[in-house]
Amino acid sequence: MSVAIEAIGLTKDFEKGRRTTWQRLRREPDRRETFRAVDGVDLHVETGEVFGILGPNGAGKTTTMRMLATLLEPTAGTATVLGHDLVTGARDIRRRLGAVLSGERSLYWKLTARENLEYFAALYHVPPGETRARIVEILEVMHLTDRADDYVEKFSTGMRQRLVLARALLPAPSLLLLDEPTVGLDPQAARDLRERVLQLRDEGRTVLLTTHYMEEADQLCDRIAIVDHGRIVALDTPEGLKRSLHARNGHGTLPVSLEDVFIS
Amino acid sequence: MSLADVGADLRAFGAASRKEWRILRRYPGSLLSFIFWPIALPLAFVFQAQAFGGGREDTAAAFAARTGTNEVAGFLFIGWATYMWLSIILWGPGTALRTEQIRGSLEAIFLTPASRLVVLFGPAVSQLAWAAWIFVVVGVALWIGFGVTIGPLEALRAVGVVLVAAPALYAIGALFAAIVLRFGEVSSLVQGVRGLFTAVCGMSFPIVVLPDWAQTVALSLPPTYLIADLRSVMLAGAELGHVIGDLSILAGMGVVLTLLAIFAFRRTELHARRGGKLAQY
Repeated sequence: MSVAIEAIGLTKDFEKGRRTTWQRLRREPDRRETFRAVDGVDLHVETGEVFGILGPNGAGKTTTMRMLATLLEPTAGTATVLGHDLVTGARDIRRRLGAVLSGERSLYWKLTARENLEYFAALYHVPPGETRARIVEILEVMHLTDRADDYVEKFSTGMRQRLVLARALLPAPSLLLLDEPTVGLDPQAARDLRERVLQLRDEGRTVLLTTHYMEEADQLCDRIAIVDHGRIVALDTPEGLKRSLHARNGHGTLPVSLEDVFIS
Repeated sequence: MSLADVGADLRAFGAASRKEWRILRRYPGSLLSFIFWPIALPLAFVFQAQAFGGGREDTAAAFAARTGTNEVAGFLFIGWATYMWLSIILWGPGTALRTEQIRGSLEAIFLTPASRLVVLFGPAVSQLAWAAWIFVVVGVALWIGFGVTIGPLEALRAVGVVLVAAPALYAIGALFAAIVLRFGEVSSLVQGVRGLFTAVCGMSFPIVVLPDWAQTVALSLPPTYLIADLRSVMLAGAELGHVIGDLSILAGMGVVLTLLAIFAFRRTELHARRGGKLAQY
């Protein structure tokens, strides 16, 4: 099996507080503290795998995703995504990467769904001869065909989220990064989206997703990394994680859920 | 970067312009301001000039000697139309970036393989349509209100001047965009630069009336040449060959400012990628 993501010691530091222009002009020493959001994360994600990152708020999930999506430059560590170096091959990575990181706000509400996709198809360098057919196909898959020519401002949250995922599918990506893709969706819309993720895996695509929902992680992910304070504290299949907690705590015949693992 | 990439980026550039144009069209109310201001603003200065000149022949002759034209209204309308176009350009790339940042779409764009120049200049190019509209309104107002006609040949030469000046002006806009990415807000700086252009570049007066030091400042700024050359070709019947010296300076400024803008934008993008500022506003 080939490797979709290989990260070694991925680290990201941010400055806490702010340094004013006046302080810069006066060349005052930089007294800002450094906050380590991601602390030496090693990741090995196989092609065709659905890999989940679970963790509490502020654990470093989104920062890790943003680094792998080439939006953030790591402070230390190395990573290859789809065979390209994260820093020197960023543009090559972006050609084959679909990402849902910023939610429904990242759409143009005064454009129709089709116009949004036409614009992003051009940005993704989709060949002009293929654009129309690809958009029709994606709209169909995401169940948006009947609303394709409506302004996005008239869409429900669930429809906008589906359109964001549709946009991520435009480059026919080998790898999809989904940052909490079902947040804010009603149960039906969330279920539809989860089914779509499983279809994507069946098509041979790799999916890296973060989520707060244990059931979602349990249902979707082949393997899960639990992160806390920027570090991976556990990594296994959902069943493996449950088994290890079961064995460690001596639960006897009591079933162990992924939530138990997460809280533990 | 391969030739295929360049072609794909050009298509992306066209798509960015189309997208912006579509959004603009969906706010038709803004069209009204683009009819009212290109007439109202210079008109106030025309009346002021008439009041100060007192309708005397010697004042008209003094104006012609300093400007090379008798057309006071044409002089002022062209000056202010250029000012309005400059405002659009100065705001254009920075505003486009800021709007994407506030809207939340900047990260989505930066996730694509398209060149960063697409997001910078694609929307700004669509605003050229508004600039063309301003000049059309001004041309019609001059013709109906003051009997000043600008023929197709003069208009064509003006387009030539605009094309030579465009790289320098868009590069200044891109420098503002770099500042937007670095600091998040740029309005006060744009207002300051716009004020400087108004004060020294000769929107409503010939720069020969300025003190020597101010003339030196004026001659270091691209809009001074643009305004002077537009007036020359549109009002004084000059051919492009007559203003070739100015156009060469404008082209040179364009090269230098474009290189500076690309350098500044790359630096600030790197800074934004290190600090996670693409999604912050």
